[in-house]
Amino acid sequence: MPVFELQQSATGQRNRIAGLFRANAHRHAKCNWQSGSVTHSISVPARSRPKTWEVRLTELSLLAPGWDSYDADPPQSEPLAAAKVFLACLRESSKEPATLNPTVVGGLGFTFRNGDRKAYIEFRNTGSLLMLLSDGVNPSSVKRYLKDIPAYRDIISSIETYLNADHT
Amino acid sequence: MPTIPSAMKSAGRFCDPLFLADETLFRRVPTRLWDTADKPPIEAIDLPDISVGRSKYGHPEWVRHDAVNGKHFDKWGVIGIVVSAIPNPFANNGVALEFSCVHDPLENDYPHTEIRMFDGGEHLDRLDGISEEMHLLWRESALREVRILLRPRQKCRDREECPLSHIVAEIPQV
Repeated sequence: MPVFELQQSATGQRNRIAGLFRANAHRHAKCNWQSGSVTHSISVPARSRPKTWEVRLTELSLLAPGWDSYDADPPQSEPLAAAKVFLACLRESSKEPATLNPTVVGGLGFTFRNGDRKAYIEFRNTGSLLMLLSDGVNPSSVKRYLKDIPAYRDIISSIETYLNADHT
Repeated sequence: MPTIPSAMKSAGRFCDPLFLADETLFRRVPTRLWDTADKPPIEAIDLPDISVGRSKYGHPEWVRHDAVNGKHFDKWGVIGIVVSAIPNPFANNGVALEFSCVHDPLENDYPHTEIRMFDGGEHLDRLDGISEEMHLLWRESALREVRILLRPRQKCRDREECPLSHIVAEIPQV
């Protein structure tokens, strides 16, 4: 823990933490992707951990062939580079995924969630970019996208619309 | 590393092509993909030619053994799908795929099986055999049918004997 935090009074620390929570609540009032969940109200603001997802991307770039113990290919440089740009667009929109994983079919995937609803973005080693929208019950939909910034912004907008749509 | 249970080895047994509808197929999932209490992610669902174990001749924890490479993944989760729950046939945009379970015993892994994909009777063993949209839709459909048999980091001791039934028995606690 930094020295300055150790030197703060207990009351000061409580006030500081409370301020962080208020700021966080304000941010999510505008970005209501996971409304209603307990974890949502205590999540760390995306801007306070700007390197987290890039670090994850770097980890994925180090995977070896057969990383799943079967015969999965690691994510190739092209989808990794595209995913980095997509991450930048997410940050620009103050959004962040729930998970970022390699996929056993070759490539990597971002998942965004709100309750049972899921938006899954897959950057494939084949060069394709697909988005799947699913609530786990009704038929899923899949759409193919180009890999450029306008398409990423379109994806982000579609995710927000889908995840925040009326669930009834 | 735990040794492979002797009952897991083929020991001269022939393949058994008969799969019952309520037989379960097992697959291990790396902790780098699934390491939480949540459901396994879609990134873990493979296609085509999915390597699995089968409940008629093996236990879920046995697939934590990588019999090909001589490794054991004691922290990896294990998921299962019942044969009748495999999305099969699977149709999309006028294309209908069929899936078949093929027992493919290995010397150190008798339960080893492959879920294979066919189009008009032709075995498709490459991703370029179908559209990527259909590929992703099938994986999502399969994910909905997946059951969690061993959670990531769930401790379990290997059973040494073959299963008494193809119905998955309770996992023995350590």
